[in-house]
Amino acid sequence: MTECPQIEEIDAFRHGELGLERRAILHAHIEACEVCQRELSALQEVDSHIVKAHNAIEPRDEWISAMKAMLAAGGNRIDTTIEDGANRIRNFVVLATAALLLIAASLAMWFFSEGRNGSLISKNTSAPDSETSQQNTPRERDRTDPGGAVKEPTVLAQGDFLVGRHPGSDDEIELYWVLPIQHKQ
Amino acid sequence: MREKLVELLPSLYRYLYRLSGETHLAEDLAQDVILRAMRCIDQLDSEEALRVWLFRIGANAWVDCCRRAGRKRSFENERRSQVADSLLVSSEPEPSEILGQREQLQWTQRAIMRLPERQRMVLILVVCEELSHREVAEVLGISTDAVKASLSVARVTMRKMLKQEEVKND
Repeated sequence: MTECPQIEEIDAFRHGELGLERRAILHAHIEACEVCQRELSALQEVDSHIVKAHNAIEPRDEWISAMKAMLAAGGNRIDTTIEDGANRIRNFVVLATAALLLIAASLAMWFFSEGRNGSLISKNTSAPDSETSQQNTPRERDRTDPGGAVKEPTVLAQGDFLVGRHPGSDDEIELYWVLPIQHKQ
Repeated sequence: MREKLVELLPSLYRYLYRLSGETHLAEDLAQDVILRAMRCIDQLDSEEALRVWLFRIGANAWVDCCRRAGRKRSFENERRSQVADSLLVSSEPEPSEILGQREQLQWTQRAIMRLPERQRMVLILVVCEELSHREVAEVLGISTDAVKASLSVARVTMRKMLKQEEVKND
């Protein structure tokens, strides 16, 4: 009996990829050799294992449905990555909530620092005002007075603005700007 | 022709899964392939050519995807094994016979994913998708001789890997 062929040659023999002469030699050998017969059947078994394993991979039903819908719609792109979509929505909600909280916190800080119940705020910071630089001045009292309205007449300059509650409602806040007065000639 | 496309969806998905090793990526790639195919499906003469054509678009889509993402065309052996294992995870208790079959399937999955990309794709296209050597050469853009060589090496490597597993489990 001839020497056992390499496994590569047995595989080539199985797929009819050898020349006639070599094929005849191998055929005679395999007929007589149990080891090569086992190797040949093992190679056939490998193919069946590969097919089984490959076909065990199944696409998701949701994806198949989405693709069918896309084909029915004439090829309009559909977002089939359901989990990715859910993640995007979750991320959007988290970011939107964080942004809202930040805005609310900023507004609250501004509101409490600039006067909750109505205040007079000067934007003209260039000239230091002896009245506003000291505590318990009439202006300061106005600022902290829970009544909400300016009690004493105050001289306003251009650029100042006034924040106060509307007299008829506790909820409404009004903002008044001091504009330059136009004198008629 | 659209019915045929629907029929081919699972094959296309499996093929792209074997290339990419990722479920979502395989789905996205398959969707791209279908969209590309639909744009010029009228140019196709026969339904027979559709399968080869789809696989070819799939191979090109994978190459484009790798180029865009700057990723390595093939993923590492370790990850391939993880992918193969993740395909067959079951939490339910099973009879020993089913468990044995399942283990065998798992070895095979692992062995397939360990093959180099070209060998893996040639093996899948010839053995599972039953494409001829000439068709596989057309899909992968290589010669028929290269297909034959890759196929032979892939089969033998598979046989050796599965034999090792058998020895380990005996």
